[in-house]
Amino acid sequence: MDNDQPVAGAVPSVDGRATALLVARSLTKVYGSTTVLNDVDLTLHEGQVLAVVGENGAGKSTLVKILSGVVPYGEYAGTVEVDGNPAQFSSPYASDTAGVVMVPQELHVVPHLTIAENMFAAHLPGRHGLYDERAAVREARKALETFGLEVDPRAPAAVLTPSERRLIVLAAALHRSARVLILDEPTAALTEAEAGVLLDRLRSFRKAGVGIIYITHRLDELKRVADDVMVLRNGRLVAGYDSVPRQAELVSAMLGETLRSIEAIAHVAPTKPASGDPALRVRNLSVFVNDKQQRPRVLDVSLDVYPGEIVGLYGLVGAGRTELGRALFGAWPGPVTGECHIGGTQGLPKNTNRALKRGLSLLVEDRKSQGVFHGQSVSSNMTVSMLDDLSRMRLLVDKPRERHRVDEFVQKLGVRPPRTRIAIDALSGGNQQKVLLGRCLIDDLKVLILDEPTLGVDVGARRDIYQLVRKIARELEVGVLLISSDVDEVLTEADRILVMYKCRIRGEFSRGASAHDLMSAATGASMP
Amino acid sequence: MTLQESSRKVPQTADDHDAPRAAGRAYSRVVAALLSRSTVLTAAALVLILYFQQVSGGLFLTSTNASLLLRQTAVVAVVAAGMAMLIIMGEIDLSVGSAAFFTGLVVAHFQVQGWGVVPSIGAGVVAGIVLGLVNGLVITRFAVPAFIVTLAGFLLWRGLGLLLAKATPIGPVSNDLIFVTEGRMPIPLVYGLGLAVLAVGARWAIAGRRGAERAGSLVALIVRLTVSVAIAVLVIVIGQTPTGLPNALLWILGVAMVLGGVLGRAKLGRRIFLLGSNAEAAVYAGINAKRTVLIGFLVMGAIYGIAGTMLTARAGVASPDAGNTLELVAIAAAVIGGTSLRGGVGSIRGAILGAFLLATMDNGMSLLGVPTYSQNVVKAIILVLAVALDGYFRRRQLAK
Repeated sequence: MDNDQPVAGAVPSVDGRATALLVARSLTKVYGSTTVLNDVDLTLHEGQVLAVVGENGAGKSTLVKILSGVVPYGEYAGTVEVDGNPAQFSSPYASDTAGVVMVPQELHVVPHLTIAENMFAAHLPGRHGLYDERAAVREARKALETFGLEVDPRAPAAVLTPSERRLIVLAAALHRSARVLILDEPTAALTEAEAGVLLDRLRSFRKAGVGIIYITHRLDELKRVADDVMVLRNGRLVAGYDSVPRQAELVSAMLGETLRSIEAIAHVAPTKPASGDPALRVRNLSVFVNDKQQRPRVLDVSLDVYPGEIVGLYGLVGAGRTELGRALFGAWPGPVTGECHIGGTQGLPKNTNRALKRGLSLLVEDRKSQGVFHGQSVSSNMTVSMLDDLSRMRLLVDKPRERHRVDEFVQKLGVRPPRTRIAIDALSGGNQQKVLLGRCLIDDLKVLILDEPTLGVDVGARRDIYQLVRKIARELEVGVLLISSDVDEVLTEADRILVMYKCRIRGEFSRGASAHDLMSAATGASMP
Repeated sequence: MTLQESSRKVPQTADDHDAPRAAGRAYSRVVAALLSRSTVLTAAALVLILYFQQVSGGLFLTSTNASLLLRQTAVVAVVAAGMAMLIIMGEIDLSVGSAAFFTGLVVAHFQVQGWGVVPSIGAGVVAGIVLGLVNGLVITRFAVPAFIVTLAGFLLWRGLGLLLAKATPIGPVSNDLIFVTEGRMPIPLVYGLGLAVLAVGARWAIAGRRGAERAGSLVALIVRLTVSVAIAVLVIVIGQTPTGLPNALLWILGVAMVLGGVLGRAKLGRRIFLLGSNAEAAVYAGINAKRTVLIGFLVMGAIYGIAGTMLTARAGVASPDAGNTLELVAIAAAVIGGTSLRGGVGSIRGAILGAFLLATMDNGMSLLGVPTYSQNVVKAIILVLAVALDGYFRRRQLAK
């Protein structure tokens, strides 16, 4: 909006070190009425690794999307130059061809295609319009050798470890003479050792004169890879460093400390001391991805949630929060180990139906794909998890009772418009979320797990949801586990805060904790 | 009473919208009701009937032909109802033609053995449920898509049946079995049916009044009552003609009532719609998806048995080509009746109307001496046109 405001310490001052590979000036992107990226400048030189850090929603992915053509030229304001020439990418393919290659967090490696095919997916070498497999294998072998990867390009990609998958994508990109690599959370899905291998390799990329933009939540990695660091907050570039600063300093920059603590105090509601037997007791819970390596997503987590208490579970993307919630709800497809008590009953729920029967419900993170039944009425969307309680002869839906329950919930939850027969798609995101919250309010609810309950919800509905959650906890004596990557949310809404980082709980904080402490724990900054 | 209700409605809508818009919405709801799938289908069928009546020189609307039409439609209608249920759930069944052939064989076999009508039919239904169980178990336990499993069933059940029957017709069956679908409905049953139509019609009309969010419902009330009375009178009048009404009609109505009741009122039906709408969300909402799918195929299995009985009763024998292309006609009928192959949308009533529309065209064109291949061309056009128009109207509605 106000593009002419100068930003202090914006551009990493690396002029004169080498020629600029990539220059972006005053990038601005507006979605609807929110400015997600505001007047951001960036300069990347040959052989430089520029780390970009910030909270979830700070604008990192939007920045990356613009640079890699996912947000095409014309849909943002500002300019991008590659090697001094203006670049106007209309698609990821266009940016790729121009030497700016983005490696997304979720790789699209097809396991049953060969390594060579995966490496050259969009750029398969051809002869007379046919796929030239020998050329592809030859090229792939060359590219793999350059990075010391000893795998057969003709083998299916399924044989590769996750870090190797990432490396073949990188190798292929560099082999196509990529100049700029954009790595979005490259270590998020990797084990410690695998991440180490990847970070070591990045050094050799740097020697080849490639510029790397490195997006991460893991501040403890920065010392190993980054030359410069830029910090985004609320879409703005708020700090730039030409060396990796102390982590505490980065955390402060990410949070914008002073402002925030005042805001947080203004909203604080009285806490509820933990008492009685816990509604949810978890001991040594581990969650694995279903493969041979037993790759953990959650490791050795223990926690208690007491009736009437709201416990915040804070962590950044990939920390394992969602996996923990799904495992407790019986919705994790892989192996889960550990102990779990819900109310008085022991054992991990085998499926979601059992979890609901025992009084535990989950408000899903991804409303669109896991929550809403598109095209179905508000009413059936709300009552689906309590149909057994609203039935006659255990067979038929008791419609008068269902109508009564839905009317009551719609009124109590403040769903607008209060019409129950229209398709749920007609409601705004916030109101859809209220309907889904209503779905969680089964009879005899003991534990409510909320996974990012206010994601994509407008401010008004967000406040409503907070009030409702507090009311549910206090009046119904329900233990609430509030999973969130929003520091403000856990600081103002939770009675007690647990912080997850790399599959484990790394800290427990009381309501009065500072955002700085939370962020430090959540980024590995406070680790010994 | 009616005034009170409608005045209670006004503030609810006026809450967020101004009056002209609310009025506009009421009007568009009337239009929507007029353009609803069932109305359009019924109207199309009426136009077709009148057209055939005209062109055939009065042959079409004779009681003989009406009875024939009903008997021709019966199997397709019954199967289309089951198909609609599965498609709403997000599944499909390509094996139904072969499975109905197989159960028809079972019925004929026991008839030839000298079993009575009821035990024979019972054996057919049990056989059908077993086939449905096999389909359902493979789909849910081994996570093979229904399309593949039932495609295999399409080959398997007919192959197996032909093997057992040595590819010859099995029969003849007893006249009592033939009477089950082809026979003339006894007069007491005709009156019972007429009364039932009236009762259902009255309930239907009242239900339309109760819905607090439906404007223009006075029109709907009158339309619904008139339609019900007309149908009841028609039933009683035709039932008393020398040809009468065929018993096949009772099978259609029976299956429609049961399946319609399941989809509209039972927990199972609700879960079927939700599962078809979003399978992932269904799991998170605590729906046991596998069990729901399995039950769906068990119900379909019972329909195999009923359809097989009807095929055998209609032909008088279990012939090797019975039920050929039945699955495809049933899918067409369900889709014409408004069932979306994406799941979550559809109705039993629509599927049965779709079946009638297809049968009307078959019957009418045959009466006019149109060759079968030309009939197929026309039906193909109708099928695509129905879906395309539906999509067009839906998109236009969403754009508003």
